[in-house]
Amino acid sequence: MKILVAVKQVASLDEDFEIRADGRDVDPDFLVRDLNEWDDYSLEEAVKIKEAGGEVEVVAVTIGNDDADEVLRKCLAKGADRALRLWDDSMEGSDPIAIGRALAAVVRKEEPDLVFAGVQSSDHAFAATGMALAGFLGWPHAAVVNQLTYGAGTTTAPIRRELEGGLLQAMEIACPAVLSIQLGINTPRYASLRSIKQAAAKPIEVLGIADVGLADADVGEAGSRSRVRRMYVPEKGRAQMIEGTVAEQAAKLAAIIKDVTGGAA
Amino acid sequence: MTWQWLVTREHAPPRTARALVRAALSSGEWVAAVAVSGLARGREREAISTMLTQHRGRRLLVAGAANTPATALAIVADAADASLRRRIASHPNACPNTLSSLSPAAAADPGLAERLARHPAATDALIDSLLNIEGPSAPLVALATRPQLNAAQCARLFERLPAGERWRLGMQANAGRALIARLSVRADRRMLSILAKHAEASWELRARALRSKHLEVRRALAMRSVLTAQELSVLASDPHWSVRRVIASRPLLPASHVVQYVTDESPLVRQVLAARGDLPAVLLATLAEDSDRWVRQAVARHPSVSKALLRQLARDRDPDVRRAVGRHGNTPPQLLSALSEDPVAWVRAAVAHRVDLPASLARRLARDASLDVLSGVARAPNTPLGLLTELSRHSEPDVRRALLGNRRLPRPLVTRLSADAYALTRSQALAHPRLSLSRRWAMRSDPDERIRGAVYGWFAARQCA
Repeated sequence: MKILVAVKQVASLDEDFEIRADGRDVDPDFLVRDLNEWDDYSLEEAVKIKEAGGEVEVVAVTIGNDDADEVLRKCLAKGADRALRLWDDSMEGSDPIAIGRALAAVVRKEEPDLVFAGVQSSDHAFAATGMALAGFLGWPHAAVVNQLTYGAGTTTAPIRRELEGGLLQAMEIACPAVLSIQLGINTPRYASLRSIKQAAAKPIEVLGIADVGLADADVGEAGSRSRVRRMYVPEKGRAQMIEGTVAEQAAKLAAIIKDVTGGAA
Repeated sequence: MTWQWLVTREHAPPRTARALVRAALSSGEWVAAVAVSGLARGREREAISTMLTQHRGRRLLVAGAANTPATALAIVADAADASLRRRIASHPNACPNTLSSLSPAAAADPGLAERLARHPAATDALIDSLLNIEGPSAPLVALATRPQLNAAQCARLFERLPAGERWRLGMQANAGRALIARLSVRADRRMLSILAKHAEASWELRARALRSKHLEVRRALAMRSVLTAQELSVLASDPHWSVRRVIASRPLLPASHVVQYVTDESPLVRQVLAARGDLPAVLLATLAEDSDRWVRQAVARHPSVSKALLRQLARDRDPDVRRAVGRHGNTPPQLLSALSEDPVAWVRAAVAHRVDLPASLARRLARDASLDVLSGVARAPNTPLGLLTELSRHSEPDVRRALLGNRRLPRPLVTRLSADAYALTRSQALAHPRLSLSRRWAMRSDPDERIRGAVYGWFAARQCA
C-alpha cells in the first residue's frame, strides 16, 4: 500500500519585518523557513503505519521551488521512502483551491491508499488544503484527526476527531481517503545523523505541471478562487494620559469628547 | 543550500587563527564567517565582509542571530537601512562604536532612538545626543529606565520628559537631592512610594511616607537601606503584613522584632523570617512546627538547621518540605537513603540531583520511572559507568541530554552523545570539556546550522584565550 503525505515549507516571521513592495506579503528577507508543524505529525503517523508492518510506501509531496527541497530532505530523514516536488513558475500565487487541484493531480498519478495533510499550515492558516484535495478527488475526508488505528491493507480506517468543547468523535472512514492530521496525534521523532546523511543522497523527484496533466490555467492566480489584496499590520489604538488637577482633567476630557463627537457633547 | 555541510571534511583541527579563518572561508557558510570575524585580518577580513554583506537578507540574518559577535555586527552595520540598523541597535553584542555610528539616523527614526536609548553599551556621549532629539517621547522614556544615569542627564530628562513620565526619575540613584525635592512637590501616591525608597529623600518626605495611609508608600519606606530607630519601630508593627514582611527580611533586625515575628499572624511574614541566616536554633525549632508548609520548607532549607530537625522534617506530610530536606547539604546519608524511596517522584528527584549522590543510591534511583529522577542520576558525578552507559541509550532525549551536565562523563559517552539525534544534546556535547578536539572539529559537518556556527565559535574563542 502507499500513503502520500502532503507537506509544506512554511515561513515564520522574524521579530521585526517589512511588507513586500506590492503590499501583498512579507518581504522574504524577513522569513525563516521550516517544515510545517502539523505536517511533521502527519509524516510520523504515516511512518508509524509503515513500521507496524506490511508493505507500505510513504511518499512525501510538496509544492514549491527548489528551496522546498529542504523540507523534503527532512521527511526522507524521518522515514519517507520517496519525495516528490511539484513546481512551475506559473504556480506562483496559488490559493488553497489551486494547491488542492495540483495535489489531486499528483494523487491521481501516484494512486495512494491514504493521503495525509496537516490540519493547517502555520503561516497562512487557511486549513483548506485537505478539504480541497478531497473535493477534487471525490474522496471521503476527515478533519482534525487526533487518533488513527489503521492496519496496512484494510479498506476502512477507524479514526477519532477533535470537536469543539472538548468533544471527541469516533468514526470509520472508507479508504482511499484524505485525513487532516492534528497536532498531538503522536510524538514526531528526531532524525538520526545517519538517516540525515542517507537522506541527503536520496533523489527528489521534481515534476512540472505538465507531468501531472495540468495547464497554466489550472494553477497560480489563474486557477485560484481567491486572491490576497493586502497584508498589513493594523494601527495600534491611541491612549493618552490626562494630567493635572481634577478640574483640569475634567476640562481636557470634555474637550476630547467634543472633538470626537464634533461638538455635540 | 544548507545540505552542503554534508561534504566530508577529515582535516585536523586548525592550530592557528589564520588556519581557522581560512577553514571558515572555505566552508562557504555565513555562520562560520560570523564566528571567526574577530580573528580575520587583511584580505581574509575583506573576504568575510564580502560574504556577510552579500545581500540584504544575509545582513539581516547576521544582525538578528543571537550569537553574532561585535565584529560581525560592525561589518554589516548600515545606517541607511532602517530595519538593519534597528536590529543592530537591539543586539546585546553591539559595541559602543557601532551604536554611535547609527546615532545620526536616530533623529528621524524614533524606533532606532528608543533601541539605542535602551542599549547597555550606549556611551554617555550617545545618551547626551539622544537627550536632545525632538519628537515622540518613547526614546526619552527609554532613557529614563536606564540604570545609572548621571545627575546632569537626570536633570535634562526632567526638563524633556512629559510630566506623566517624570516619576521614572525617582528610581535613578544619581537623581540628586535637588531633583528628588522637585519631584516630591505635589507627589501623588505612586511618586511618594518611589521617592520614599530614594537615598536622597528628605526627612520631611520620609515623615510623610511613614504617616501615609497607603500601604505601598509605607512598604517602600521599609525598603530603604537605612531607617531610623523610630521608623523601624513604627513599620515593624505596621497593620499590613506586606510592610512587616519587608521589615522581617531586613539585615541586622533587632532581636525583639525577630522574636515578635515568630508568632506573626501572617504566614508570609513567618516565611521570610524562617529564611533569615541569623535565626537562633531555638526559633528554627519553633518554626519547624509551623502550620504553614512554606515556613517549614524555609526551615528545611536553612543553612543552620540541625540534623535532628532535618530528621523531623524528612517525615513532614508535605512533599515540598521533604524535598527541601533531600536537597540540603547537611542531610545525613541514612536520611537520603530513606528519601530516595519517597512515594513522590519530586522528592526522589531532589536526592537524585545531589552533587554528592553516592553510587549506591544512584544504582537504586537509576531504576526509577521518573525522568526528573533519571536526569539527576545522569548528572551525578559518582554514578557508575555502567549506569551512565545505560542512560546514554535512554529513549527520552532529555535524559540523554542530562548526562552532559555531568562534568566527569567519560569521553566515549560524550562522543556518542555528540552524534545524538536531538540537536540540543549535540549542542551541549559540543560544549562539554571532555569532547576531543578532533571530534569537536568534525562537528562542523553537523546538520544543524547553529551547531556548525558554534563549532567555529568554540575554536575562535580558543584562539583568543
